[in-house]
Amino acid sequence: MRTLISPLLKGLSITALACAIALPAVASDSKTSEPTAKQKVVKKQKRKRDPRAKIYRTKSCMACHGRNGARAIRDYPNLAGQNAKYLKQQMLDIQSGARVGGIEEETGHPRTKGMADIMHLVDKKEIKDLADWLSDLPPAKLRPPEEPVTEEQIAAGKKAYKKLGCKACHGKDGTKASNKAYPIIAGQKKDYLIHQMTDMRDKIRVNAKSKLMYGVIKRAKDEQIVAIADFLSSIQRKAKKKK
Amino acid sequence: MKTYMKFLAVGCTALMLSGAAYAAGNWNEGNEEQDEALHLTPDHDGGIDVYEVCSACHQLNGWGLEDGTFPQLAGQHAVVTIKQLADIRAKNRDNPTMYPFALPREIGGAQALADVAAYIEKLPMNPNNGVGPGTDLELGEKLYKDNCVRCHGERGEGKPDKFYPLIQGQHYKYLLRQFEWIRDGKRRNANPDMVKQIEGFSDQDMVAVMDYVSRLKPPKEKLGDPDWVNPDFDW
Ligand code: HEC
Ligand code: HEC
Ligand code: HEC
Ligand code: HEC
Repeated sequence: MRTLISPLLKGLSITALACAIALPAVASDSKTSEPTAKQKVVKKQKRKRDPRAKIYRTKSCMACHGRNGARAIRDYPNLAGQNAKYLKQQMLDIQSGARVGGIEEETGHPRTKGMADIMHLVDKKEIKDLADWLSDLPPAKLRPPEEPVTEEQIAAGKKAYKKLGCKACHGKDGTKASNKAYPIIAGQKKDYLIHQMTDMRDKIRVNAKSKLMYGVIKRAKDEQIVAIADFLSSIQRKAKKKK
Repeated sequence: MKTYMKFLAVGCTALMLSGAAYAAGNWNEGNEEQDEALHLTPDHDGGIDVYEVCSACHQLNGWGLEDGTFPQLAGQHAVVTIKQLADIRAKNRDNPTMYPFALPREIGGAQALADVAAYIEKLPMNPNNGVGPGTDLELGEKLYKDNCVRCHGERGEGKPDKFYPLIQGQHYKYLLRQFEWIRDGKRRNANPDMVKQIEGFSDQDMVAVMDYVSRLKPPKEKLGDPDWVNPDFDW
């Protein structure tokens, strides 16, 4: 039966599919003894779904960080494929107020404020689950920069990255941190990277292990920060190999 | 189609009446996009598209959260939703969490506003919204009848022709926060006449009246089944 209807279902949009099944499926939840084929399809889909994804989708994370943590809006960070330990610590710090960001001009609030205001919705266990789930997801696909970046600019960024000694902790090209508590910074969004480097240089971001950054980042000039951001944001990270 | 026509009618009346609203103070100055949105014909599929991102916070059903973090949107008059979005965008309502989602860059222009507002208006409402402690309902009722009915209506149904929001069936904790902000001037888009009306309200009065409001049930035809799941989305 399922094989018979599945090609048909494939042709329908997901929305229409949900429309067609959701209501009867709900109505007959407790009573039916023999689920229909359609309901089986729904059940199968449900089973496949990770409960941690549900936290992400219902506790508002998705609105700002995008589908599967890989399509963040504005200058907000992508989270997919980041080290779990790092993610967890940052969530705890944004929740407690230990991590703040620079002031967002448009709203007059620190950039962390919008998220801080919802973090009472998740507890420690959910934060850990979210961190584990996000870190296993494939990293975001690069999107073309708003303004084209020259080869020279990327080379300048690479040079500054090397000269300032970022490699010691973030790896040769930012794709591999030397410690699981440190962030992977390659493939992250340009504007977000600029904010963070600047916030740490100016000691606005002081949470967790930020101090480790101070020694090197204090020597970074604005134009080096921009060049490094151009360099790092131009690197497409590879997905982790499945275990 | 009928609902679209209704929306259209409401939108046009609202447009005509907005002149009167200007005179009452600057709580409803509007802007081009808001005015444009108010007389566009909403599109249902467009509404689903735009609402998807809203649902990450306001939930799939538009029922919000009982703890008041996210208000229920379902059932709100379209004109009110459009005005609130315009106000958040214009920073007349301080809402750092939602701010980006009121911007055209994230959700689209006037048509998107019209689409999502009409979509929200038609969503069935939460039958089990959060209510207050229930300790002072008599006082609450009296305060409501003396101070609020003329704008928000007998049952908290609001007046779309004047942009007065529907407040029935809203989560108590959200109502309380808004009321406090309006009283204390933190919500800059508040209606000056309402601010005057509630000037002398003590914290006890505030709790009593909001408790009462949270228990004003929307009419049956506006309420959803407790188990209702919005079929327009697959998660
Ligand atoms: C209102 C938008 C918003 C919501 C909702 C939101 N975030 Fe954030 N988040 C941000 C912004 C903006 C930042 C970066 C702040 C800065 O620039 O300093 C951030 C930063 C983070 C970081 C740190 C990333 C890094 O590389 O250091 C993590 C982890 C995170 N968010 C996870 C979450 C999770 C999980 C949720 C849901 C429980 C969530 N966020 C909800 C906007 C949001
Ligand atoms: C001694 C180790 C160390 C060195 C050297 C270092 N970093 Fe970091 N970096 C860190 C740590 C640790 C964090 C996370 C801080 C925290 O725990 O909040 C971090 C965070 C960052 C972030 C923010 C990532 C995010 O997702 O928010 C950026 C961007 C960054 N580093 C760039 C650089 C650059 C560029 C250099 C070279 C100029 C550099 N770092 C040098 C340790 C280091
Ligand atoms: C990241 C979370 C988030 C997203 C996404 C979001 N909102 Fe909100 N919204 C909020 C919060 C929080 C409030 C309450 C703010 C307050 O307390 O003043 C709110 C309030 C509102 C209000 C005011 C309600 C009232 O009763 O006055 C409207 C209308 C609204 N949102 C519509 C929308 C629409 C439409 C979308 C999608 C285009 C959307 N929101 C997306 C978080 C969000
Ligand atoms: C003169 C008319 C008027 C009176 C009287 C009035 N209100 Fe309002 N009220 C409004 C308007 C208009 C708004 C919406 C303002 C805006 O556009 O943001 C509003 C908003 C609200 C809100 C926020 C709704 C939301 O969804 O965010 C609450 C709660 C509220 N009123 C409760 C009351 C209560 C309770 C009383 C009586 C004690 C009262 N109001 C008296 C006109 C009035």
